[in-house]
Amino acid sequence: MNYHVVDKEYRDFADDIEAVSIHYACAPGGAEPDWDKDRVTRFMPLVEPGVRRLRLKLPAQLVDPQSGLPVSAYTLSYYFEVWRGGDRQYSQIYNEALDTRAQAARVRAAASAARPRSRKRSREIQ
Amino acid sequence: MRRGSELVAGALGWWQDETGARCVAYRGPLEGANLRLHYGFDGWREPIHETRLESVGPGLAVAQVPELDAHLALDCAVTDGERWDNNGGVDYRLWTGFDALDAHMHLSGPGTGALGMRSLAIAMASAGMVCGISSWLDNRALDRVDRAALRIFPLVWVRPGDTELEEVRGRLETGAVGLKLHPTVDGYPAHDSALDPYIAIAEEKRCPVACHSAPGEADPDNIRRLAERFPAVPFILYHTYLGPHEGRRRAAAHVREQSNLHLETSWCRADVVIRLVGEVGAGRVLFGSDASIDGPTHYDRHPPNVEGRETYNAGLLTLVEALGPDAARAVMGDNARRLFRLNGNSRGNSR
Repeated sequence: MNYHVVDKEYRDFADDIEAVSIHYACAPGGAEPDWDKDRVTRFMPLVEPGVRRLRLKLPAQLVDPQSGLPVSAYTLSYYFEVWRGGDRQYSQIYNEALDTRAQAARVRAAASAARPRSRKRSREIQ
Repeated sequence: MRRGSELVAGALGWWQDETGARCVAYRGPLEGANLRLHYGFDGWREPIHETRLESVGPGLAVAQVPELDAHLALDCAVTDGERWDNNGGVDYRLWTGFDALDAHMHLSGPGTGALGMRSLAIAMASAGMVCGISSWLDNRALDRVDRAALRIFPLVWVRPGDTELEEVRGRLETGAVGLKLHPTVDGYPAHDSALDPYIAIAEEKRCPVACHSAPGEADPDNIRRLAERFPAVPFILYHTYLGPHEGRRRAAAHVREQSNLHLETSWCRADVVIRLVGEVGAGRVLFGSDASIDGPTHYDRHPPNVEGRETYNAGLLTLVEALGPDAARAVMGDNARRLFRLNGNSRGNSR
């Protein structure tokens, strides 16, 4: 598997939410992400009333600019863009420390027969 | 009461009297015997004029304006002597030579924000847009608005694998006029084979596909690959290319070589659009603006929102003048009407 998956969920805080997107970027070693260069934006589909969920496909490794070496521990930064009543609102920026090696090890130990992650999986969520 | 026929809906539009003379018609919130039309031409160039609006029926007043045909656009506001209706501060515009259609709009629902109905209505009236093609991330949003009131024709937003084919088919059979693809936001390459069942429906229904064009997944190279697989389906590159000029040049080259590709001009300055028309021909370029991402002032925002240097309203005057009447009519509406199979007339009957 050459990517790392993380599920993100957004729960609507009002009935007139018209759409939600997630913006995210990854940066190694606690560095600030370069939003202009690395930002990814994805629509979050409504999977049940008031609940939006999306599976992010993140890199398994990043190159640390300091050392030039690949690292599997990095920070995922993300925020939500919420359309409500025709207006755009933004959440705060959340930071999440990830270590894809640890996650991969857990996945391997827990489910050696797990299905491959694919677009089909996303269809089932929707 | 004078008899006549209204040519364009909305607070301000054209009206034709029984002699065939074209008048400005007002059916906004102001009324009374003192209604006056305050107007200028082509971006409020001096001199500014004022003329009486004559009541011709309940809630409808009209004014004859001389020298219309000598100008591109009429910019105006209405007063009853005490109050002003200036369209929320952004004034009204009517184009004299065509009924303008914005081929790239977004309407998120009935809300009062930038992308709500009211903002879009004000924005459209400020730029003389009599109708538009709209899409939204969630197709259900457009079910909750009175599209007919704004003359908005919806696209079906397609997420390959997520959007049900039957939903696409159903929406195209009940008013939607095409498909919308956004490979960047939805995370797939624009030539993804998972799109094929959807494009096959577009082919069957004879409707076009509008695709966000930008660096990465939505690159024009990818869009061309998709267009090559479906040569009978018109594809519209939204924004032409939302990125550096190199991408715009590449998009234009694809349009020259692939006959079912077309360019849409949102966020391109007038000089860029003029160049694109020169490269690919007026029949292959559609005006669009992404309204009303920037709210009621979308077409006349200060500081300017088109590459930070130009407002849409100012740029359109430059564009229309440079293109001349026939090419301007094509770019500003007739091309979109043809591709989306709306009524082909550029005056009056938008569908």
